[in-house]
Amino acid sequence: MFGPTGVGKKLRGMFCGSEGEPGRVLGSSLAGAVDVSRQTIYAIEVGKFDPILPLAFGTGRPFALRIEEIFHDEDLVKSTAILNQ
Amino acid sequence: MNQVKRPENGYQSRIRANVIRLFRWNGAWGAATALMAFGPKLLWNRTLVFTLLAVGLDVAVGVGMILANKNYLAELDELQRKVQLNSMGITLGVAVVAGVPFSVMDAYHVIPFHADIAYLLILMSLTFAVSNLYGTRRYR
Repeated sequence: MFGPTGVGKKLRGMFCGSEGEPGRVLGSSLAGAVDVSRQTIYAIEVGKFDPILPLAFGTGRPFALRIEEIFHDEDLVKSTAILNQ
Repeated sequence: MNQVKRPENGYQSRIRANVIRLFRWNGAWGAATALMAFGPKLLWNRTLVFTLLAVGLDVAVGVGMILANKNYLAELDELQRKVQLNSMGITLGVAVVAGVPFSVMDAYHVIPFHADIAYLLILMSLTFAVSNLYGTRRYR
């Protein structure tokens, strides 16, 4: 199951700290790595904001993940589910 | 409860520097505008050449402020830029929607005072501040 704006669980899982709370330390490290504010990373993390391509690519780079492993086309997922019904 | 202060990343320190630069330009423009507005009466007894110099200084500092604002926007990340764009759009809309009727009411003496541009500037400043605050909190 994916978030409302297309961010998958995989990315959210990477932001989680060892105690299971939101991992702001990792989030802030990622913000530094992709040269954006912490608020932007947090907004992506909780599914409030969808980044454009350069930032989306940059978000996956520190984790050595491809863009499609992090972000999902929810419209495609929904339409495929409807077609398969 | 003690909170550990996290070090700023490159983006944050760059934005901080830009905000300080923008703040300085805004302050300089405010001072230049005050000089232009009050100088002729209080400082140089309406001497035309000094008034023209004050107007030139105000415009020049205003151009600097616009460029500083442009640089600030260019350095923002896409979410922050989106928040700024929304705020500017709302501010522009409110200024047009409120400004024209305000001017018409002045022309037909519906309001008992002159529709000064300062009222519009105050309205725009407040609208921008509120919409920016709302936009920033929306993505928290």
